This record gives sequence, C-alpha cells and structure tokens, in this order.
Amino acid sequence: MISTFGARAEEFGHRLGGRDLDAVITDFAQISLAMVEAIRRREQGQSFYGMVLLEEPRTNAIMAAAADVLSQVSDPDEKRVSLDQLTDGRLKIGIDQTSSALWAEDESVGRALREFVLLPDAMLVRSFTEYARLLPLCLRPPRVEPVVAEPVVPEVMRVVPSRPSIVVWAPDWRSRAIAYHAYALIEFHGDVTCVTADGIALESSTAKFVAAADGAVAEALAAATCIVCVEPEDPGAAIAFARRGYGVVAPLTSGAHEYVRDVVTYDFANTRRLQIAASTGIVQPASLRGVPEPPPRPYRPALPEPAGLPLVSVVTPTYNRRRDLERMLGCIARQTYPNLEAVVVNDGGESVDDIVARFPFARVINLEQNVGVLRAVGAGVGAVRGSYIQLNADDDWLQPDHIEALVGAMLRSGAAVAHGNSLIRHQEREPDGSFTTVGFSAAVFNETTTPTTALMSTPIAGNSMIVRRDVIDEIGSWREDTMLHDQEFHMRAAARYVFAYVDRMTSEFRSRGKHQYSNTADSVPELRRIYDELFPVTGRPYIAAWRADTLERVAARPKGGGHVFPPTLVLQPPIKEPPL
Amino acid sequence: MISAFGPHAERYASGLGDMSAIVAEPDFTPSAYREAVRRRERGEPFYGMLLYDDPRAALAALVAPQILDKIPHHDYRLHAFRDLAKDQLTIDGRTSGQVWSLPPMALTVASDYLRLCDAMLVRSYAEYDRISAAFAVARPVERILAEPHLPNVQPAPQRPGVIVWAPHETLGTVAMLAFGLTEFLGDVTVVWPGGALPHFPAMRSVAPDDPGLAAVLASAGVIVPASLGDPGAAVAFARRGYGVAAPVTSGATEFVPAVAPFDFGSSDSFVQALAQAFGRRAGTPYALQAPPRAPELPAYPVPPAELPLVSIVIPTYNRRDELARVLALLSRQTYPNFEVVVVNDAGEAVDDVVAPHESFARLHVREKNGGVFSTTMVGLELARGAYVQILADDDALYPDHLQRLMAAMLVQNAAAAHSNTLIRYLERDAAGAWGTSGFNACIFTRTTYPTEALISTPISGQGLLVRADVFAEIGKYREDTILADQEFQFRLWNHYPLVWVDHITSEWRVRGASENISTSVNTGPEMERIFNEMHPVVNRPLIVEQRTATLANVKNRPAGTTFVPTISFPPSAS
Repeated sequence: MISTFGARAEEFGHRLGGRDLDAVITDFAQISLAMVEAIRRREQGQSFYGMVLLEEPRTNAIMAAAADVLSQVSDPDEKRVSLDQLTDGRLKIGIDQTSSALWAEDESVGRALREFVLLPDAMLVRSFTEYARLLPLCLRPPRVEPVVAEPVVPEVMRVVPSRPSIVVWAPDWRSRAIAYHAYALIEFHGDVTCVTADGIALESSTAKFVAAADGAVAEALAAATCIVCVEPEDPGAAIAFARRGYGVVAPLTSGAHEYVRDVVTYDFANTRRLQIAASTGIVQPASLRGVPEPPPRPYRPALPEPAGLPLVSVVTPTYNRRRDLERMLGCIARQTYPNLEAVVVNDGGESVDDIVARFPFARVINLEQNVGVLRAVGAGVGAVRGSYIQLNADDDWLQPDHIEALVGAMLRSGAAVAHGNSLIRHQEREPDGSFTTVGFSAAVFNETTTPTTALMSTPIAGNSMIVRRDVIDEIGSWREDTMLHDQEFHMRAAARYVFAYVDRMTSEFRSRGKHQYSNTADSVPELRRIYDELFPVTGRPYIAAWRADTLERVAARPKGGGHVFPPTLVLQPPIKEPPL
Repeated sequence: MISAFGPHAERYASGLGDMSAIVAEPDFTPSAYREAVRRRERGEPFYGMLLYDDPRAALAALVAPQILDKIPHHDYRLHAFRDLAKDQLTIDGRTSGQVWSLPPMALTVASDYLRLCDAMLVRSYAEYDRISAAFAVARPVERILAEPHLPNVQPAPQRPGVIVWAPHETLGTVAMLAFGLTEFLGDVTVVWPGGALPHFPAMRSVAPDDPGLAAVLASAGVIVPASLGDPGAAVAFARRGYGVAAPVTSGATEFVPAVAPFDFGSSDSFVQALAQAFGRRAGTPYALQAPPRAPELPAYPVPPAELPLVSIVIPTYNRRDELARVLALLSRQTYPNFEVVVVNDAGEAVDDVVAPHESFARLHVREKNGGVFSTTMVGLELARGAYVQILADDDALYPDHLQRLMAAMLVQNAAAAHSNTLIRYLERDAAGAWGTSGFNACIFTRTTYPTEALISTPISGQGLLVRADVFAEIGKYREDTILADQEFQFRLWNHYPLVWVDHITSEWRVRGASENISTSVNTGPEMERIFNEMHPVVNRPLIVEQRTATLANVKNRPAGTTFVPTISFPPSAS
C-alpha cells in the first residue's frame, strides 16, 4: 500500500496508479506526518520503502526568483544578463546578499531527513541523480531502488510541422514559475508554446501560453517536435514524451538521461544552456531505454527451513506493571519467528499469572521478595531453555520482525551476537495513569560498534540485541551490581565477538521522563567505576581522553527526570497509547 | 573493437566483449584522444569511456599508507582517519578537502576526449554524475556492467569471515580497508597480489591466482569489493549469495538490491556497512539491458530513395595533394545522394585528381584567378542540390557528416544546421613535410543563439549545411570580406532557428602559425566594418558594449595565436 503526505506526493502516488508497492511517500514539508506513518509500519514489522520528494534547491530557487528578476529591468539584453547573474549566484538581492543565498544549505532539511531515512528498509528515488543528492544528507548511504511515475500526457496525432515548434511542458506550474524557461527561449525562431497550470501569458515572453486544461494543448503537441520538460527532479514527463518519439529536453538534475536515450539535458549555468539544448532537441527524437520496476517491497533475506530453527528465549523482569507487561507479551505473540519462549520474572510484585497464562509461549517465575531488576534478570537468564537469549524490559517493544531478522542474520553469518536499531518513543504519564506518546528519536540507537568505541559507550539499546547462550557461558551473564548492566555487557561482548548488525529499526525503547529510573539516576559515578575499575586501559592515552569527554557529556545531561535524549520529532498533539 | 589505454583500462576492456569503444584511465587520455580522432575520421560511431574514480575516495586511498607510516599507535590512527573522513586532515599544511585537484591540462584533454565520442559509456550513473561535474561535459550516456570471472563458489562460513576482494587494487586502497578491519574480530582475508600487507603483517593475504582461492572464498560470508568505481565484483558476488559491503562510489547500489554501501573515505562508515553485510545477502542483481554494441547513427525520417541531393562546393587553388585527400575522404560519406563541385581558381590542373571520383565529383575551371570568395560563388551557381555545403580544399568532412546533419534537418525541414568541428594543427617536420602536431575539440563544439551571433559565432564554416533556398531569402555569402563565414551566419541565425548536431563531424586544419590566412591576418578592421556598417544594432547598449570589448580583444591578440591546441605533440604524418 502507498501512503502519501503532501500535494506533490499525492500526485506522484496517483501517477504510480494501481502498482503493488509498499511505500511511504512524502513532500519534505510533511515529513513529520510521514515519519509517524513509517513508525506505524515498523511496529507492524512491514518491509516498506520511504520516499522524500526532495526539491533540488538551486533550480527551484532560480525558477521562483526569475519572474521578479525579469520584471526589474526593461532592456532585453539586460534581462538576460540579470538571469545569468541570478544563476551564477552573483545577482544582488537585498542589501548585502547575493542570489547564491537563495539556495544556501538549510540545515533543518538534513535533520528531519536523516531521521526519516532510518525507518524504511530502503528508499525509493526518481533517479540515481536524486540518490546522489540524498547521500550527503544521510547518516550513511541508505539502500535504494529507483522508481518512475509517468504523467498522463494527451494522445495526439502528430503532424509534420510547417515550422519548428517547441512545447514547454509545465502543466503543474504557474506561468510565473517558468519565466526563466520562457525567457531563455525568446530568441527561438519558431513557435514556442508553454503549457502551464494557469495559462497566463508573461509580459517578458513572446511565447504562447496555454492552460493545461485547454483544448489548444493537443494542437500544440500535434505540431511540436520537441518538448522542453521543466520538472527539476522528476523524469516522468521526459519518459512519457520519449515513449511518443518526441525530441526531449530535460533538466540534468531530473536524471532523465538514465531512462531516455538521446534526451538533451540542460543545467542552469546560464540561459544559453537551455537555448542550445533546444536547438538539438528539435531535431533529435528521443527513445526509451527502459523504466525500472521496483519489487513491491524491499528485499529481505528469508529464514532457513523452519525445522532447523533454534529456540529463542525472551527474558523479562516485571514489577507491578501489569498493563505494560500485557502489551509487551502481545508484541512477542506477533513475532514472525516461529520458535520462541518468554520467561517472565515477577520481582515480588502483584501477581501476573493470569496475564502470562494467556500466552502459551510464556511462563512465569515468581520471586518471593523484591530483589531488584538486575537480580531478576539473573533469575530469568538462569531459567531459559533456548539457545539464544533476548532481554526485554516489561515496558519496551519489539517489532514483529525483530527476532526473525536478528536470528536470521546470526544463522547466515555464524555471528554469536546480533543487534538492530532501536527507536526511542518519548512518553508522558496522563492523570489516569496511561501514557501518551509525545515524540520520537530515531538517530540515537542507530549504529553498531567496534571494540574501541565500546570502551567508551555503545550506541546499542539493551533490548535491540540477541546473544547466543554460549556467549553467556563464555564471558558471563549480565552483572547484577551495576545499573549500567547493558553497557557493561556490550563492552565485554564487543571485545570478543563479531556483532552482526541488522540496520533496521526492529525495537522500541520507551523513554518515560521522570517516571524512569535511567532518566533520573545519576549514572556518572557508575560509569566512572566501569571505566576505572572494571575496564581500565593502559597505553591508550586517547581512550582516557575520550572517556573523560564522555563522563563530562553524561554529567551535563538534564537532571531530575527530563528525557536524556530529547525527541527529534515532537508530536502535536500527542498520540494516546493504542489499545492492546 | 575496443581500444584501451592504461593497464586498468586494458583489463576492464577485456571483460566487455565486442563493443565499439575506447576505454581510458585519466592518466592516459592523450593517447585516447588521438585514437578518438582516428575513429572520427573513419566515421565509426564509438563510445568513449573514462574510468574516473571519485576524487575524494581516491585521495583517501592515496593518503592511507602515509597515515599508517607516520602514526604507529592505533588510537591516533583512528583519530587521523576520522579527520580524513571529515575532510579535516592536514596534509602539507592544507586540509584534505583542499588537496585534491586534477591538473588543468588533464581536465581539458579529458573533456575534449569526451566531446569526440558519440556517446559515453559509464560503469554507473554515479560515475556519470562525477564526470559531468568534473569535466562539464554532458554526452549521451549508456551504462555497462562487466562482471569478473570468479571461481564457482558459494558462501559456507563456519564463523564470521570477510574477504577484501582487491585483485587489482593499489596498496593504498587495500590499506584503507584493512585499517577499517583492524577491530573486526572474525577472519579477514585480503585477496590481492602484493603479498603480506606492510602495515598489517598479521592479516591473511592470498594472491588472486592462488590455487586455494575457491576454498578461501567459500569460508567467508561477506565480500568487500575494493574497487572505488567498478561495481562488477559486487554484482558477481551478490549473484553467488554473498553479503556485500561496497564503496558507494562504485555504484553497486544501482545493480544489487541489498548491498551495504559505505563511504570509502570514512572507516567508521565501513564498519557500519560491514556489520550489516554479515546478516544479509546482497540479493539477486537486477536484470540489465545491455547497451547496443555501438552508438547508433540517426535514422532518416524519409525513405532512402527520397533523400534530397546535397552539393558540396570546394574552391581550390594549387593544393593538389590536399584536394586529393579531401575527395578521398568524401568518397566515404554514408549519405547516398550527394555531388561535389570542385572549382579550380585558375591554378595548376587538377583534372587527374578529380577524375577518380567522377561518380560524385565534377570540375569547373576558372579562366582567371579570382580569389577564394568569388570562386566559391561560382561553385554555388553550379550546385544542383537542394542543400549546400561549402568546404575548403584542405579541410575534411568525416564519413557521418552528411548523414547526421541531413537526418536532423529532415526531421522538420530545417533551413540550416551545424555540427561540431575539430581543429587539427599541422606543422612541418624536420624533412619539411606536414605532420599533425595537436588538436582542439573545445572551440567549435558549441552552438550559439541569435544575440551572441551578433557578436561572433563558435560555428566553423565547414560545420554548416544550408538549404539552397536560403540564399534567395537572406542573400549569398559576400565576396568582399575575409570574414564571409561569420557575416553570413549573422544573417542566417537571426532569421532561422538554430539546429545543432552535437557531434564532431568535420575538421578544420590550421597550418603553422604563418600559413593560414585567417590566423595570421589582422581581422579587427574587417570586424569593425561588419559591426558598424553591415549589421549595426539600435537600442541594444549591451551588444554595443560587448562588440567594443570583442574588437579590443582581437586588436590586442598577437597574430597567429587565435586558437591554441588543447593537446600537442611533435609533428607526425597522418
């Protein structure tokens, strides 16, 4: 299923028509909404594509400014000079700015985009040219599939033209927005017809303007030999017209050259580029090389045959959080991995026997008195029957594909440890005791580690990891004497084992502000103890310096129950906890 | 046929099969350039390929061994590599981001080379983006994939293992990746021919021709193809079921669905990709449509029998050898319906030179010498074709010239069209014979627009083909100016739409500094006359300004230095 956010995305999705494609497609402006949808799909364990219809900043800025620039000078040659200054960034705008400021990098674009890209299995792009634009904005190169969506263009009987004629194809743009193109073609000795959304003629141009809905469009297309496409990022129209054998001129940034043989590309170095492209386009019919057909959903490797799959044990300590525990067991019930057990350790709290009984794969160990979460974990690990172990807090969440993805990765690679990424869900408690989600952060637990990095800290959430049981036998279990037991375990494991890394958001870590131990406790003394007593290093001065930095950073975190990692995406309004 | 220049190019070409192409490494573009000219002369459509690696990644490979040499301590190395990834490593007082640049000479030679080809071949669209950004040349493009031959193996790892596949890579490339693997706790094997790695003596190294290679390959689940620009190995290993982590600059992501791409310049990025590649196979490569064996010449929009007659007018005077050569070249035009009108301007007889080509060429002899312009006029009077081309007796049209221009013009009955022209520089060698001493493919490889044509045009006379009825409408070439070509184009392009065939299909020969009239005569006064008397402009102050600047420019330039070659060499017989 395709979900779209924003007008351009909707239109693009519409053009994809009935294609079987699992994708979240969004305009950049709507990326927050798209992120919520992407998170929803991750929670269902779906493999899906993400797509951001990112505007190429320079071209869009030039198109937006051209009409004003043209209206400020009257001499036709000066108009051209002004446009060329606009495109090379030297045109004065305002008091102490030049036009290059119009397409200066906007850092907020990068921030939002970086997070969104982390959620889908792969990104869709309209061309690899677009992928090249996306890359510098990402934390690391995402997986990618190209897809194109052709617009419907009128079917016309072409006639041999009496004189050279060009159609500038901009049915989704107002005339003003293509003032640059119209002016660049002003010296063309032939017919120029601009098809725009409003069809309003421009004073700066001698071209004929026709509204996209007008019958005259078919007439112009019938007589034209060359179509000038204006979409800066979308090769769809170029493909549609190449299919019909027209000469096609398209922006280099659209990536049309990847699909269309003999397309003539132009850039916005100066107006000349478009003019001279047209003088080739009018006599060089284009043809279609091929269009990509992405698979309906991103590829994921399959698990080996079910008979050989090992038993995986999920260990969960719980204490007086019946509602959370029930939700948590619900997510285990939805795991796609077929061979698992859940070991719930009730740390001397109110009984959960009735809840556990509803999940046939789960059993409960009732401790007689409250011993604390660390020892409760120990009790659970001691009781597992599986050969793979996963810890999960009673209020956390695993996406349905978590165990399948990690165990699959371990079986394929022979690795004894695997982990995925973890999404932080920020929650606040309501007066009635329920929690609402106020935000998300995807970039915190989103990397793997190396032995050296692990000596400082690991970017791996406790519940995003599965270990083979023989690891516990070899390096020991989680320590019961440190609140940073996750981190301490990662340090030991990273020093000895290869981590297989599933670069996908397969788990969720819930941050509950002041209602959470790890947000309120001061972990600095504990971290110092780990550094100095448990894992001292010698002969590595850099590590000592980095550790000092880390301690300083942790000490500077907000005290008294703020979220340690503030949300990147703030939800307005917050989302109520969905029903079980 | 493929011509390859440079050892990597030769190896790459050997995997391409039968293609009409030139494959070159950046350091070998001068040779590729000259081969491209030879092929243009033969009229063979061919692809030009430039194996162009990402400059930033290439710099990392260059710098990596230096970091490892100078810094023994692992943590300090880590720090240096992180600075490198951020373009902040200081090398000889400059940051790594500032260090990389191609010498300007290499830039112009490479972009001229690309202008000579009919279309480019690239290993990935990532490579195309790199090339069009670095060389500012946008040629038609086709993507091709060459997979290396591999032993018939499948991954069957007992424990985590990774293989760096670097059978043809430099020490620097291997060292960069090896450093990224120093903290990897599984098995690491580097397949490359250089033996033990100098900085990592403990790392296992296997030669590509080692008989045990198949067993080594089977023992790992993940392959890291080290090539910065060639996705071939990534695709081949993905096909065999491996997990693959590859530099994003290789373009492997364009061919394989789940390859783990990484930024080669960042060993942190490599670590992330590697750990991903462990747990997932790269997936079945996409089916690709192979490019045609050669770029296709344009088809005519009318049946061959209806192709109109084209007349080529050649004025000649006492250059028998050159004329013979020009006619021999014309006999190879692929366009089926043309005639050549040779007009001898009362020079020594050329009857025997023209006679062998009587199937298409006829001769008219003037009784009195009248100069090149009036001789051209005589030829135009005698021409019977519906289209007319003027050609000097010492220039050249390549075999596809008429086909390309006529195919374009007939698409919409254009009145005039032009293509690009190569400048060939000739000098006398020690024995006094003319030999080629250089080329320039960037001056006459552009088109113009009417306003620019009011100042000067970058279109050479022999690059131009016009419909015969044009003369009736805008007048003929003038006989009273040495800039007749240019003056005619002022009129032409301010009346008819420009039609441009962006291929080099003709040649302009520049002989020495002193023997070409157009490069030795001072054209300033003549140009001034054209500007002020023949084509004055009213109400266009900017044009007047630019004309003044152009005149000053012409006046200030020493005779004989009009256009300089982009590539030059000792004169050699062609």
